[in-house]
Amino acid sequence: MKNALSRIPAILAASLLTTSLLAGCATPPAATDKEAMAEYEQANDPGEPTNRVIFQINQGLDKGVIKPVAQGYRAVVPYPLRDRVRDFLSNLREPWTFVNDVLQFEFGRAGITLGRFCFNSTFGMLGIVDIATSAGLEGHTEDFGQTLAVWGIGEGPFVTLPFFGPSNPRDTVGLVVDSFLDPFGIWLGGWVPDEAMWAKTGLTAVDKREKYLDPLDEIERTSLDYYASLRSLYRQRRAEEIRNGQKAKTLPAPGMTFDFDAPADDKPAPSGPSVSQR
Amino acid sequence: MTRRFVLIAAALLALLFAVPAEADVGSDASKFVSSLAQNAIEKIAKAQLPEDERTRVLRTMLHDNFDMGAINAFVTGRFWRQASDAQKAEFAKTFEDYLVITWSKRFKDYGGQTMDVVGAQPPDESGAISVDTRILDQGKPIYNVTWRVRAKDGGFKAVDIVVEGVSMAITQRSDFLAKLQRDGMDGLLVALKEKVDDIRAGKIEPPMAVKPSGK
Repeated sequence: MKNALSRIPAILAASLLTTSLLAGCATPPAATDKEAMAEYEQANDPGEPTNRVIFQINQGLDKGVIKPVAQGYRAVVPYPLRDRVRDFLSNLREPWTFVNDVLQFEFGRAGITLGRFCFNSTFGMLGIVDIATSAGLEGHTEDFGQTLAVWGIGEGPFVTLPFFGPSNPRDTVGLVVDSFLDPFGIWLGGWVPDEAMWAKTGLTAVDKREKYLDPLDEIERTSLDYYASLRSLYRQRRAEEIRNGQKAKTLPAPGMTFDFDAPADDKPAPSGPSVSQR
Repeated sequence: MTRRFVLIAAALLALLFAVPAEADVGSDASKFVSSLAQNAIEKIAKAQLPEDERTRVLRTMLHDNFDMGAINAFVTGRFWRQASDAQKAEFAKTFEDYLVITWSKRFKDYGGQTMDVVGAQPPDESGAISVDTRILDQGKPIYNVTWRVRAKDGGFKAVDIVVEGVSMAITQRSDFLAKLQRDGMDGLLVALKEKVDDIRAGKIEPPMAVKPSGK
């Protein structure tokens, strides 16, 4: 079956995830040091040593191949054309977003996704022009990791996947399901030549990397520890995506909340906010 | 007749401002954020100041509008309480340099974006008020930005900026804690100073072979 091709990376990722989880673990701080322990728990990264090794390999791959390709893509293909490519690829994702909208009981959003797909696939010339957005139907994406989160499944420990980068067990399962069950992908894989499916996968990766060229450069430029910054960013962004941009009940980050009524033992002058575990 | 009306209106207005109602704290916070952003756009982004003048204005703005004491303590966590007064003072100075230099570079690339206040949420249990804003590019919303502010010294001070769900304070804290856990406060100070020098010298400016494509 042709579609099996697109499943390979996800299967690979799942198997490697298992290995990375079994390999090196960070040494937790002494249980008596409550603050250090709280910090360790907030980082949610028991496999940090292994994750950092995989991160370094990913960085090498990125600097050597992926980033230069994305930069080349930006240099060679003019913006209006890149925008058409992005719209086209986004449109191919809409059916799977629709399925996940429904699975999350977000029927209003499912309607919007369906409307967008119908509108853009026809009047938008197979999705090349996203006319739905200008018509007031703004798009969004959903994936199975988010659906699992809505169903109440926790993220689990932070994990760096080979090639795919920051993730966690829940989102890794999501990634595998995304590549297996996308009905449109299955249908497409049934009649489109393998080469076209590979081109779609490759172009999606290049488009995504191009999109993040500037923000990632900026984060790397200003970070002391790029890995730690990305870990934090990934978790905060995922939490936001799962909430669909709705206001957080307490506060913006996973497992964290500002507590401005600093503990009594704090120095008086700068009454620093402290972080407490939720 | 008209004159008397104006006088009465003025008196009423003065009365309104003299007694800041509890319920108005949200709209006051919104005004604070709105004027802070307006100021930043007018005085820094649009003004096209030379580099050192821009950093000077930024530094003043940071001082006057952000609760740096609280932010310093937050981004260094438990290490703040263990630090000596000298280390604290040095961190405060270096971190300020770091913020000024990174934001200065960001303002340099300003492309005419504007900001719109959407509304404020009532203070949470910690007393912080979230003011929701949108950054607009040519009238089209591109980012949601939430400002977290606290009432302080008769006015407001910002403690965090949250861009599309990503808190600057929390991200900064993760970055610094990773360094602090390995090398302690002195190690962080050395690394942060190095970072500031490198950015200032343009050593780690991202290589921009191609101009970023604005929408």
